[in-house]
Amino acid sequence: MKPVFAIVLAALLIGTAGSCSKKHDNELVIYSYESMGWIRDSMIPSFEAANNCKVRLVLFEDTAKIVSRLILEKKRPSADLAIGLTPSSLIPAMKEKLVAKYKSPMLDKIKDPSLVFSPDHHSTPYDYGAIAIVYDPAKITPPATLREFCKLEKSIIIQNPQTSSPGTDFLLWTIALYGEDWKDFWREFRGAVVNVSPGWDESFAKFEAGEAPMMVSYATDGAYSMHNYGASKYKAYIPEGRGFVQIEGASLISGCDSPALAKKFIDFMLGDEFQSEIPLNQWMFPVTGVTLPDVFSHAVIPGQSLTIDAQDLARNQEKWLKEWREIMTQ
Amino acid sequence: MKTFRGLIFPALWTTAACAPFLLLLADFGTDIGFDIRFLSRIFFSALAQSALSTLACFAVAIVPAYYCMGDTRLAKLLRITWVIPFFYPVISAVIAFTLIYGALPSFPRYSLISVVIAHIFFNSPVLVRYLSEAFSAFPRSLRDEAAMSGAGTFARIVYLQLPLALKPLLRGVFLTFIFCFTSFGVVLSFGTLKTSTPEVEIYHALQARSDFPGALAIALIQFALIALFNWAVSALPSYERESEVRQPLRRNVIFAFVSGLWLIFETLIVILPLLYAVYYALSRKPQSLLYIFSMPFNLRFPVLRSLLNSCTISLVCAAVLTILAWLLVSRKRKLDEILVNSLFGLSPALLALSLLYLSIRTGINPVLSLAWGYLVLALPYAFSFFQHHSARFDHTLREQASTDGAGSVRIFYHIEWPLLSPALRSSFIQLFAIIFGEFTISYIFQLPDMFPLASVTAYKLAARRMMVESYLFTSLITLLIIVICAIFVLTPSQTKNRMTNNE
Repeated sequence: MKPVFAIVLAALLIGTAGSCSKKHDNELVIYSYESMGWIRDSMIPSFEAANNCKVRLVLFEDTAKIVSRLILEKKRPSADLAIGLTPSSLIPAMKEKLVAKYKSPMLDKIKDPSLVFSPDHHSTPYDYGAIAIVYDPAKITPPATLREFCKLEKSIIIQNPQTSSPGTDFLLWTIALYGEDWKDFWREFRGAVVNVSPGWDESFAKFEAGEAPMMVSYATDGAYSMHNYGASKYKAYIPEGRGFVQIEGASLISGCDSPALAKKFIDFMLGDEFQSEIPLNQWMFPVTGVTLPDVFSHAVIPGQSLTIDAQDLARNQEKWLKEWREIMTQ
Repeated sequence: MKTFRGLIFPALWTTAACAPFLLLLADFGTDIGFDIRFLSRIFFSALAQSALSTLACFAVAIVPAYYCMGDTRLAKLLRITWVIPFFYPVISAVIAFTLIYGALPSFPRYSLISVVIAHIFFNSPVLVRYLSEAFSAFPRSLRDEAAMSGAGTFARIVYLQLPLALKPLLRGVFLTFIFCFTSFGVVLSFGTLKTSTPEVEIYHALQARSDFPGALAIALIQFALIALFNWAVSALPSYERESEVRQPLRRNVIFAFVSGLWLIFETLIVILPLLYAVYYALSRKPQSLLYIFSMPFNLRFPVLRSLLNSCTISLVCAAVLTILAWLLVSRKRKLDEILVNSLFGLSPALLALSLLYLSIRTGINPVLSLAWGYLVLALPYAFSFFQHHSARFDHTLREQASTDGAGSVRIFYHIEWPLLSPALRSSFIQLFAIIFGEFTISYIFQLPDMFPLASVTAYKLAARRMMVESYLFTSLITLLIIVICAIFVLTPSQTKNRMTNNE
């Protein structure tokens, strides 16, 4: 009998060993994706001190997983705030009524009103950046247009739009560029694709390992390269100068336990302290007018920013993803 | 009353396997729709990939399987590789193959062929084991007797050899096929959208599109397909052999050479990450050897916590499963076999998400839900391990003890445990390794802050381009599993003393 008791006891120990995710009083729970981990060391302690509270940051691999978790928790939300939702990932969140409206008094600080992608304030933007093609100049001279990629064989790594926000935005970029002909474009473009990675991190790992001379990434990669390596080993460019801008936002969760703290954190994110940390940590552009570091002169800015109408996106996003999947698996 | 008692076990584990899905089905299952075109594409491509992988595994395994019947040193080494599919973490193999494919720039890294090669590594040992069993089912002595009785070659093969060998052969093919069909880590890493498996599509549906009805549709079809195949294999009669005698084989240099090559291939994949990590760390970043144990590193990537957590949960779940599986196998009921083996068809991705949802809705500690998932997932493996030993156990001992008035627990402790101790320990070790290296459920659960796990931490290191650290950590995982297994294998059994004292 002793082995049986030992086993049962061990099972109970396991059951109590892992801390339950019960919230403490005056605790703010934030869901975000892994690249936002930097706020744990610098921003969160500052916010905690100013508001006499505790902040728990839970990181997921990408925004799709954040939304998936929020849907599972719909009847018992654990999170108060979701950081990192883009216009495309906000759509399923709104469809499931996961996010609540909040109009921050700090919205006036946003330099460009068009960055407010949620007119109903279901999400408050905090940074933005253009999607670009990053390439290794030692290996390839990139084509001038995206169409010319179709002549290349196995040259670019892209992200899966089903699982990755830059992947989704790259797909939307092609739709914004080519309209109804986007499917024809992809039928030809798929021959140039080396790999469809689940996320940006996996793509960059493969790109750095030399699996392809180009990848879909962000227009600020040149600045990142200069800041970290002292040289622009890899270069970013936007074909034809017509780029698609990804905007990230913070959203209040419906029915959360700490809405007041969540709202304060959204306001905090639009403050100078948070916004000035975005360039060298997120490698995106801040939405307010804080001074950019010098290294951002190496970031590429699109001559023309392409967008997709929010209603059009809400109506068709699911269909487009399905059609993209069919094209890539034919 | 006996019938009622006989149904308790099936009812219990059917509930354990099905209950997590009921809540998910209730809340998200109302919109299940079957997109025929999409589903047929996934299943046909997965069936084609699995068939190709199984054929390739069969071709590679046949010579080593025959050689395994012998009693040479090489044959013993070959038999050790049988545990590889069960103990070697998927993520470690992915990293090893990434290294190999990286050294061959012209090799199509993301293709059907790279998936098939990775599957050969993982699943050919399964076929080696079962093929070897199939070959051994017809010992030379029986063949000689049949010849003396006047049976010709055709009659010997059709009426004697095939019936004896058919069940272990089909069991091996079935397991290999299922492992390839439900492959997740390998296909996620080396596959393309065209070579996706139902498991990867379930993961995408759940995690990427939050399409729960879509995921349920795929999982239901997968379950039905595998249950059908499993039922067909289980329906075959099995023949018990009295003893397993290693046959002295005729010397065959070619067979020995081919078997040796296969052994080198299997071993190389296991040790490659370690060799590369040590070489890379010593030549370029010596401090990384110890850096992964430092506090700053562990704040970002919880290496030590994940090792401890994985060890703890694996030990406990393996212990529970060992006892549970033996209790089920010893009952020798066909219904138990069919129900348990049908669990092979359960989608680990969907099971994980269902348990996570159950945990969220009911407040059950997610770690307990995770353990529940491991128990459900690994039960058919445990059952499969014990079926082999059950065939050689004298069940009349239990009946006699029962007649003398001994209860189940006393029978287990005084009779079954001493006699089966090597089998129980061997199965425990394999179950420990399976759970420790399990990736799909651990990955889906996503408990990085609360309960980090080794396989997921290893994956995250690789995904974050911490390649040296990733190689080191996966090598550490492999070494840890080997050490723990060695401890159990080498620890002298105390059952001998107890039996001697009882006598």
